[in-house]
Amino acid sequence: MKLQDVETCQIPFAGYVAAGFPSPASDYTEENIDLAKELVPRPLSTFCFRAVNDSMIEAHIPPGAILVVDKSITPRNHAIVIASVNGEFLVKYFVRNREGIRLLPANKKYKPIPIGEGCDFAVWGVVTYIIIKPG
Amino acid sequence: MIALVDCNNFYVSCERAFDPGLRGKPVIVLSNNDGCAIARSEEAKALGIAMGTPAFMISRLIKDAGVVVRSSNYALYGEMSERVMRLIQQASGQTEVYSIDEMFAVCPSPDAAAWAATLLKDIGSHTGLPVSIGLAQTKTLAKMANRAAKRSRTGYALLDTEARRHGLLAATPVGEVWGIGGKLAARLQAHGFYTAEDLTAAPAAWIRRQFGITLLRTQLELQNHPCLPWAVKAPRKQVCVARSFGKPVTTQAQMAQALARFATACAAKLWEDGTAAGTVHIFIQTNAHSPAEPQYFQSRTVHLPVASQHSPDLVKAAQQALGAIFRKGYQYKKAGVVLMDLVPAGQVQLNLFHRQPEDEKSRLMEIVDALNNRFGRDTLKTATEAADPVWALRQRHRSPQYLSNLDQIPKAS
Repeated sequence: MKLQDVETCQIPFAGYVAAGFPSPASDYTEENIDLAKELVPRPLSTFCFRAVNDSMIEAHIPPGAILVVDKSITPRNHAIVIASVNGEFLVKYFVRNREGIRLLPANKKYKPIPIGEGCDFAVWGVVTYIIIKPG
Repeated sequence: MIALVDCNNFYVSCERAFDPGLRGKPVIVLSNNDGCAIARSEEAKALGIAMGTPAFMISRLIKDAGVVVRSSNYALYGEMSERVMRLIQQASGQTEVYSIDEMFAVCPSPDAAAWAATLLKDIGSHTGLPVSIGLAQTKTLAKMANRAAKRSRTGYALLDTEARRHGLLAATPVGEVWGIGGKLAARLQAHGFYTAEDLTAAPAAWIRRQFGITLLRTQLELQNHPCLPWAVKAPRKQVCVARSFGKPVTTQAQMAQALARFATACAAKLWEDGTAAGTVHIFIQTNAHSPAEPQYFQSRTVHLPVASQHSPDLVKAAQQALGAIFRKGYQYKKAGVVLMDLVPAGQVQLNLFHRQPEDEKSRLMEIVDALNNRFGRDTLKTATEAADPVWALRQRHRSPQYLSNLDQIPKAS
């Protein structure tokens, strides 16, 4: 065997070898949790918003919470959405019934917002995750 | 078929996506230093504001008509552009970025109209940006179809029949054909060619002789024969960062700060490309638009002993060059750093007398990059760059960094 052959010789790789013994876990390892992938499965249509008041406090959205919003999803009835009303962004429940569309808060101190014909209204996106820091 | 997808009034549309109150209003976006209108909403166009109009010339109109003014927010536009390009790429075969808001794409579906309608809808639902799509057999025709798409009800236009192709060619003046500028259009008109259809009827050999192969290629493309290549991203031959100052710079220290910032921005681009620069060229100048003020324009080139991509080396070279050309008593309005003689970073030839080990410097730059990525663009700067420079860009009307700063994300109540 020439020296060249030795250097390029392939050695089969038998899995992670810890000092001393082969790990019993090596056949069962899975990929670690990728939090970014879980929270943002569709990065091209995902944006972050900030809740600024307590109108949705009973939906677990305190003021200051970060809202992960997917613009590409069509909201189901009662989904929490970001809506634009008269040029402002609101975070509310999107509720549609025979009478029409209403935006509902999750706090008794706030009033429901009926969306009439000709109202400057659009659903901007659906809230998919709420991020809150405890304390 | 080949599609040209582009965003309608891109910068304005990006601003409107995160500020819905701007819809329906006349909106303009200004260039660096709040100079000229580089984007206008349809309402602003209707007021007669032309592309490139300096803001100060329309200050009365802005006030009287309630025009909303925004400074350019390139961080926002860049990110939105990236998203649109990726969405198009996901739906297409081969693609080619043409500008910040335009992309050529090969339509992979035999039903081009349905493909275009779906792509339009998807880009709208994912990003909120309105786009237009033109489809044809050649890039030049796709661009022409795109202009027609802007006037259409659906937002897309196909040149899929001879009737449609001839119809559009006959309705398009030569000056509006991609690749034909004002001067060339005037020459063609002098010869009796007024529309794109006229141009396709000209003898090919005569076109080649009188105007060259570029116009011949355009003619062939208009005749439905694709002959423009698809661009492969070529490595940069030089990197330049130059800016006009918000307030004039008068001292060498301030100019040194500005050049340090520009040199560092250049270094970041080298890092991205994996190249190193062998030559650093700087220029400084007074305001050419104020001829009453004393004028001074000087430049200087410095050759590096070893090609480098590290900010400290480039900053040092820029300072050295500045020392040779700076003169007191002038109000400097603009300066820039140009890096040339770019080589792949792995091929840098070490100078016999150059002692600093390259590995140490790379490791340092990796750490700087990682920290700047995590905590924000200018977290770590070389010592010469200051915190609040007097010469910083004037951007009085810039929208928040909706996508790049957690403290500035849109608010919902």
